Amino acid sequence: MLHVTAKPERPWVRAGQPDEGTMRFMVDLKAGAADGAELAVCFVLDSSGTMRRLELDADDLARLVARGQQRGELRLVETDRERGGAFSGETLAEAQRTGVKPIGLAVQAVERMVEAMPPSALASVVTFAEREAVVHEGAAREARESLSEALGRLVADDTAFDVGDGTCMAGALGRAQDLAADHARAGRIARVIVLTDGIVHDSEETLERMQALREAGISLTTVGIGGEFDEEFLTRAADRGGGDYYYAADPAELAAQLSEELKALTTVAVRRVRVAIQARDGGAVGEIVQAAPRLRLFDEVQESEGWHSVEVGDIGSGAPASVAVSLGLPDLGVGEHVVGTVRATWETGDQKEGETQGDVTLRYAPAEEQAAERSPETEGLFDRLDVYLAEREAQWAKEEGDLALATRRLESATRLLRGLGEHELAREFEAHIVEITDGTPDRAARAKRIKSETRRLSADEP
Amino acid sequence: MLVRRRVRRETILAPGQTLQGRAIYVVREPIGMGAFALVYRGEDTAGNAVAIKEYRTPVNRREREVVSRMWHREMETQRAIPPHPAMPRFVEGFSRERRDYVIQEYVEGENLADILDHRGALPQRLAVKWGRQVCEVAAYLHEHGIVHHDLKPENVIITPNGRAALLDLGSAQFLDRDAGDLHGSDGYLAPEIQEMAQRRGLQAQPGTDVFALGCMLYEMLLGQRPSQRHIDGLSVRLVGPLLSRLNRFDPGLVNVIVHAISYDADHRYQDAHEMLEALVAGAPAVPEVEPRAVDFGALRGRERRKVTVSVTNAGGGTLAAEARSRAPWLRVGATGRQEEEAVGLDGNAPPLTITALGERMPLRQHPQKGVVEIRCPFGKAEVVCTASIEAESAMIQAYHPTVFLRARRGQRVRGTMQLRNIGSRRGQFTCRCQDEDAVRLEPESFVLEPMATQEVGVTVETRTLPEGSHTFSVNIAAASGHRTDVEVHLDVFAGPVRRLLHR
Repeated sequence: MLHVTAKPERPWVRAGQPDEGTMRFMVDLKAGAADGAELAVCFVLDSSGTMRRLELDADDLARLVARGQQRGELRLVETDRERGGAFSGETLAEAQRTGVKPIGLAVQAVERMVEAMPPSALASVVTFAEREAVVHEGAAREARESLSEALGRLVADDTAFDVGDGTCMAGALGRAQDLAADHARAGRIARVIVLTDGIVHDSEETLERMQALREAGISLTTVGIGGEFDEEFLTRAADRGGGDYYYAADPAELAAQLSEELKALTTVAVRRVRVAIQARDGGAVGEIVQAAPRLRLFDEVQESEGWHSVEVGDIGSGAPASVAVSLGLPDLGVGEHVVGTVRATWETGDQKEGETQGDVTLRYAPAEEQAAERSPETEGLFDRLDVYLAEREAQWAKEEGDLALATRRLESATRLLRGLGEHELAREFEAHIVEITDGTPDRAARAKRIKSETRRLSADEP
Repeated sequence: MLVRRRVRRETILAPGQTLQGRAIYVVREPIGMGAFALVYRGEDTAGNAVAIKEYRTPVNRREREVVSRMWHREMETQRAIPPHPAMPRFVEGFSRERRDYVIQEYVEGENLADILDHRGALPQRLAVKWGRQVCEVAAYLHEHGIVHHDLKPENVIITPNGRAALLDLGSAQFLDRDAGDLHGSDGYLAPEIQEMAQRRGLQAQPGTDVFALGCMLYEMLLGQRPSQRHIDGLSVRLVGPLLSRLNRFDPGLVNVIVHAISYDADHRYQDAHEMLEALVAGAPAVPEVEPRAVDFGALRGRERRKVTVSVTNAGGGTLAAEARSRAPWLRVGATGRQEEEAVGLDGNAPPLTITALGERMPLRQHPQKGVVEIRCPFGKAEVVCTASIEAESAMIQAYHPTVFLRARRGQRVRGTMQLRNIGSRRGQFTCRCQDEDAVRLEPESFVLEPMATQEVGVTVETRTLPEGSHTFSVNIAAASGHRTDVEVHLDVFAGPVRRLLHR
């Protein structure tokens, strides 16, 4: 069962004021108890060359370069485009002990998550580089030892299968979809979790595959691994796949994030939830954004007979979902009025379908009343949403080369963050603004953290 | 149901979605995103390309009402205007899923704004030609009582044949009707629009289109749009950049622009028709030719083929141009005049013929390309011509159609002709010169395989020749009948005899 309520951003709107013709509403979707369905997770693991590159933090690298030069174990290679180098001997061994390979980080994350999964849950692993290969299929707890061995061989690059040297994810998603679809037919909650640096050669085909997964009712989560990856692609991929996007710099952070993901998965109460909104005659439906449990722009909106419908995905008993919708209001007289209708449809584990529908109401106050305050119920929620939207706007403006607009958007996001008490993230935004205005290259980790953290702002709702 | 997909900040119709009006239209890809509408390329059920304009549905009520009025007005204006060749044909308009659509013919080409972005300032001839063409359409609209109100390079498409087409009647207004709201774009808005907005008495006037046309010409010449801040502030700095470059631009054209962007609407041209007349009278001439490519096909031996092309003046004034062949096998001519390498053209529709000469075609069997250039002080046009030689059984052709020789009187002089069989079979060829006493050919007869070359010596005895220039014609004929001529040009001089002293 799903309970749907809609709360306005402000408690009322002035009647007869054409400029006040819009209002944002937060549509909350609260599910009942978890349906107790078993879980089946398919991990899609990037094992391409870039995932096997040794990554060192800046301090370690500086220390090793100094030692390598002292010992004569550093060979510098300089071209007109980049500088690089190769360690040898003792310095190389030291670098291997100090640094991490993204593939190692990804495998640790998978192992920890599999460890935390209920005994009856199934875990499969598909890996890919130029081609894809199934490393392990549908392992329940008793078979997890062999899964662990298979993952160990994958890190050591000592496997019987050859996936080549490129990075093509689409095929792996196809295999994952086949596995997940089998499990979903058996009544399980099927989820695909992709761990990658996001640097793929077939990004368009991959996004199409993600779309197909979502259409098949299988949500997809992306996890960005390591220091160098395409976070914008992974963000888009998560939006397209109807799932989440995480960034983790170290194994502990990654494990903490994935345990959250696991908790959400094991408490799923309703599946394939769709929310549709219709404005009253004379009104209009504007932007719809998922506001909880994560902030997300919907990649697809369906319109039919005035209804604007989006797919929210699965909703857990402990993690209600919210959708923010902007409604254009009709010109109405003083009083309480229905300004729209919201409808939610869903599926349950036993393949039953549910539907609920409710009115979106708003009070039209007399014109002489003071300017409307914010509704206490939604205080802060829309600010968090605005931070996220401002970050997205800034990203698009940067892509279009409009750095002035990007800066303005980030500045407005920073002000909102300060107001919300999110001082640490505000400082990251400020540093990012300096990078843009000074024309210095973005610090990769900062950009990744900003994208990942702003999506999660709603989790810290007041 | 319609599916919309996100592209950055927009959710746009996904490719493959269908819209039903009187016909069914399949949406392909977005081709334009403006403040009030998105435009997609699409197809009707017969496979004809159409432009699908989807008006936005702003969430703000007042904006929504404005956009809705724009759609209704566009429908009204589209229906009120008879088709014009430089405007896309209106197909239909309808509403679906609370959104308003206009379907028009799809005009292939490149947006003038994109051309300006890539190239910056345009050559004067293009500014004059496209400015005049847009002015002609605006004059057509004004004649039908409609003000376009959003004349700007973004709304002009340059078609693959180089002509300007005017798009987007979304902001168009009926003349002198109370408009309610007026739209336009920064850099092209006449100053009185701001004043009218302050008075809240908005009325569409053709003078605002004249101002925008002047701004477009200004931008095409200078590569930058006028500053709306300067316009609204009635700043004298607006025309500064134009006047400071007067030495680069035709004064007649600058005069038209300055007149068109006058801040005082009463001093401007009253409508686009009056501006067009001023452009036609005062702007420099720009030749335009149609067709711009001529294929003569395969010529047989010495065959000559002639085509007539239409030359017109796409600018102003009277065209005084020169048509010149840039290939040895092409000749130009005017009616009743001999074909030459170059010919003068006078008047705004001068006749011009182009002739391809088989005997002057290069010694190659594949098609050859040559250009005829029509040039006047402020512009040029080109006709690209192609032709090939149809291979006969045996065909002779000379590498050079003329052999130049020079000798002191009384001396014997020798030159050579390079000949080649460009036919498809082996052939016997004979060389003859009418003036056998003076000119001796060696060999006079030879056999050549296809694509083989023969050198023929030309020896001229000058004892009996007077001083001056002499031309002899050598005829080379194949047994199969094909023949060609080579001219031998000899200059005979009689300078003092110099004694060379050896030390």
